[in-house]
Amino acid sequence: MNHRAALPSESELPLRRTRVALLLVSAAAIGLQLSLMRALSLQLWSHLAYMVIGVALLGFGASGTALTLLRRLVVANKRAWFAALLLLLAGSVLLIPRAAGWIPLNVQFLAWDRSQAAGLLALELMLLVPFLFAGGAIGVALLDHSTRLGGHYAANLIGSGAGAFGAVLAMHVLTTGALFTALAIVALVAAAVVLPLRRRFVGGLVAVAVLIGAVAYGWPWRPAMSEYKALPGYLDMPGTEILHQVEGPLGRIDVVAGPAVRHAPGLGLGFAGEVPPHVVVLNDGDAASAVYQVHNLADWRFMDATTRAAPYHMVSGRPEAPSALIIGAGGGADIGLALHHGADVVVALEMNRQLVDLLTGPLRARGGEAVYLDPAVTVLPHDARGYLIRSVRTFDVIQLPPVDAFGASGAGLHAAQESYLYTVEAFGEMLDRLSRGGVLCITRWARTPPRDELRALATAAAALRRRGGEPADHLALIRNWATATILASAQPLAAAQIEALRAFCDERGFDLCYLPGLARDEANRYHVLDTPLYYDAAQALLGPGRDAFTAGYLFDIAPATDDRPYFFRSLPWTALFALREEFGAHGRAFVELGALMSAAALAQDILVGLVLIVLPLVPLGGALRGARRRLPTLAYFLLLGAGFMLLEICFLQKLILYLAHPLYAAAATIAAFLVCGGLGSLSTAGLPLGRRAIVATSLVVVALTAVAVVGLDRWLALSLGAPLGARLAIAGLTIAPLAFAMGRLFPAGLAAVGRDQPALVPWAWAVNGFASVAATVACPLLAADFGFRTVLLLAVACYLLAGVSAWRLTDAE
Amino acid sequence: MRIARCFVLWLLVSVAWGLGAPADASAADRPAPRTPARQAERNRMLDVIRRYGMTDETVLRAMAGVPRHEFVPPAQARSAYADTPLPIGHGQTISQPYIVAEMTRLLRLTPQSRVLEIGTGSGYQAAILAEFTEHVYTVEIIEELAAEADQRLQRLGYHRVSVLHGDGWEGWPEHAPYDAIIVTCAAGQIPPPLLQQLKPGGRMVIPVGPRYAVQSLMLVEKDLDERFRSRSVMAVRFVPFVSERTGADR
Repeated sequence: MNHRAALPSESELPLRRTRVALLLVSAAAIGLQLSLMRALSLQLWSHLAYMVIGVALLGFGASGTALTLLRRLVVANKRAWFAALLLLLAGSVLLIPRAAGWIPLNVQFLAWDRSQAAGLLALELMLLVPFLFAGGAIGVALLDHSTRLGGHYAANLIGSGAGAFGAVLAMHVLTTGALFTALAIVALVAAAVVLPLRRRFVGGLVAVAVLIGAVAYGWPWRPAMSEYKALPGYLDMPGTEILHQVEGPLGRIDVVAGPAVRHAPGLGLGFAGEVPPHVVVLNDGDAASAVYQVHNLADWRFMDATTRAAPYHMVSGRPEAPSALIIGAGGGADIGLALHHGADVVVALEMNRQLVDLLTGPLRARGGEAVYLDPAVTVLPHDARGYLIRSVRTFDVIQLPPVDAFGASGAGLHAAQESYLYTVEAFGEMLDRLSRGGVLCITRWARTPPRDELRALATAAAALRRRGGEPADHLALIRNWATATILASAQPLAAAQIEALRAFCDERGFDLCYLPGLARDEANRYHVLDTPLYYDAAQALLGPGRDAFTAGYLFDIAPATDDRPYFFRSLPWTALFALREEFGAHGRAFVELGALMSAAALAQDILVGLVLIVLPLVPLGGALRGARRRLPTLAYFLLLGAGFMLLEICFLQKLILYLAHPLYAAAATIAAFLVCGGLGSLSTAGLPLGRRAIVATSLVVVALTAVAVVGLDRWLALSLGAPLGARLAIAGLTIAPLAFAMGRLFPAGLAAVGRDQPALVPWAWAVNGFASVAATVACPLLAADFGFRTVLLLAVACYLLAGVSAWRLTDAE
Repeated sequence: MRIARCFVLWLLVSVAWGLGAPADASAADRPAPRTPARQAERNRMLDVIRRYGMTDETVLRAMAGVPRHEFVPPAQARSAYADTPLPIGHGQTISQPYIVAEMTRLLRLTPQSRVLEIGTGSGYQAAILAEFTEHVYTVEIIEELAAEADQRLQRLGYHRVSVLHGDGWEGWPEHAPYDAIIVTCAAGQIPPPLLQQLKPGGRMVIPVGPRYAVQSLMLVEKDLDERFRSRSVMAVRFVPFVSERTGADR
């Protein structure tokens, strides 16, 4: 073979350049997902995150279908298609996020306004475009010789892993708008790497480069923020200005100030004093907290007019100054409350470093110094669970303020989000960190009808029961018009504590809802409900009939656990019928938006996925007419797609607790799965696996996952106290063997199909994409109802059945 | 001749606006202007409110007299009498008719009542209040809304409504104390100055919760000892606006 013959023709893909381009396009695609999630959180709300993941994978799936239908055209000139798709990706990455801002959308009205569904669909179709190009480009590469697929797939996975890490790092230094420009440049470089050296392609490259420059300079991306978010509302007020604005992976922080900017939620009606001047801190334009400019400790007395002040009154009889742990310090109001009550040790946990930097930097003189830099205060950028597990310090008061903004839970915005703060295990750990006679104070916004408040009470009661206590003796529940506060102690409440709480409530006009020895006619006196609903519910939840009461309540108020950490999702699907019966069309008012969005996304993905999977099979399309082994191919790639995503999400959830930060957990999980999976793929390069080997690898995945179901929690618990670096390494090593095996299965199956039925290759890519979409979106819905353990078992079943399907994928070796 | 031409022009403009001098002159002498335009739709709106259980005829009569379609943007005019809130710009809405009725009823107004409204919006609620009493004071923080509402109320003959562009948190202390205070924008906090400006024996109504979720209407009463009691009156949702077509379907 002479040298000239070894060179690929212009229509063929050059091996190394293709892999470099694959790395880059995969990184850009993942980076684009994360950037769009950021952008939508800023413009609308974070519950659209699942929609972005769904849209991205749907775009990949749809590209597979398109390639199936256009296969002959594409195969004839793969390199040109590859380069053209990358150029289109570069242009669309820049233009689509800008154009998406034109769609009028207020998703919180989705249950009411049919036009919102059309707007949402338009947004999804628009966002689909760049992922269609990215998926198309990767799909073209996968049409290469079957012996090269292992290496190509490895480049895809490793690029994706690098993209996830790179995007998160880039968010520390780039604004969201600049991120889109950077991603467009990455796609452009990928195109340049594989571009055939023909005039029109070089011309195209230059044209897209000029377009990127012109758009980035002349049409900067600005978030079209919903006018129903808090920030536009504040800016409508005269004299309001944005003092500071910082962006990072956890969101954009805006600090607003002005004569009409007020924030003091949950104040009792009896408070007639002054609220100190303050600025308001907003995360992604919503979820406000305030930084109060106090001059002396007496200025904090307005905080003493909230139900959150109760625990300090309950421990006030002690000779020594109280110590306090604040979980989610935010603007520092709860730190101020602790200092107001003379606390000499205050540990404040605040995960958002940018917020801490603001309060200790630019906002220092505007109130930050009084709370974050007080000598008694230690601010730690730690996740609460991680701190509770590793710390040995005990506190007289542990304060868990409502970390979500007033109203966010009311609208069900967090219904699809997990929370490891409000679980039986978390409350148990908080109780463990209380000093003798110390009080855990959990405050929730009062809802109509009550839900979160009762669920928090039930969760605290379950935590106390696990410790062997009789919760009825350890708990109290009080409320005012805005908030309900649960007070729990590891020991039975002392008579003096009960008396102090009674006096506290009476002075402020707060209602006692539960207290050992409380009579029914003592409840419901100040903020009057039609019946003493809270009293009756508390009696039922703390008494022997709690299971029947919980089962019969319209909303889900069963204790949340680490296995089902969906505290904010209180509307079970079955309740929708009851709501309709009870309230007619107005029952829609109770629908929780986060869960609704997830369910709508799932239904949409399944519907579109089915259409696009079936389309190439219909006789008219003819693309796959006559192809053999369609059913085993469908089953194998469907199950692999679903199983991979279910496992990845379950591990991510487990690692949130282990690594004590969702960002570390996401980075470690995605990187480990993609990089180790990529290495697994690489191991199949040039060494095609027979069906026995594929089945054996599936069984290895099944066995490793089964081991994880039984022992992962215990294994991770052994090293909970280790430093972060060690825990990151252990997490990666734990995932590595599983991800390596999982990574072998896709290219091995694809190579097998490519040898036997090459027309099915892009279709298999599409099927895999759709299954990944459905699994990603379905995972939180399944976990909310059945728990993550069940989801893991489902993943085991997927890989087991994939092994069975693999047997029919090719002929015997 | 020039005077005659001006008179004819003035007459034409007045007729075109439906606000001729005779109507303006009489507006000062009666509780509120009456307009027959879209009365049938208004009646149907009242039937819906009655079906919710509203039996207070004074409230229903007041609402029968106020042309709600004048208080919504032209794009929403077709849906003006639908049982939904409607957008009026700046992220604000004109409340669902039933909620307007219920909040008004809770205030127990008399002709002598001095009433403060926080959140003028388009001015519709203030117009309803003006059907009961001459002493209506309303505060709006968004300048554009305040100016438009003031002009609209004047144009429709509600001369006794005083509109202030200002911060509702502070209330309007110059006219305090008030027998009734109505806060029309949903709130997460109840401003202490408003509570102070309420007369002993006075009542305040306020929706609690976010605009797009399940809310409570809260009634706050200040007793003669100046202590406060509050009551959660009903679970409501200030249902968000719907598209014109959807609104027409209802």
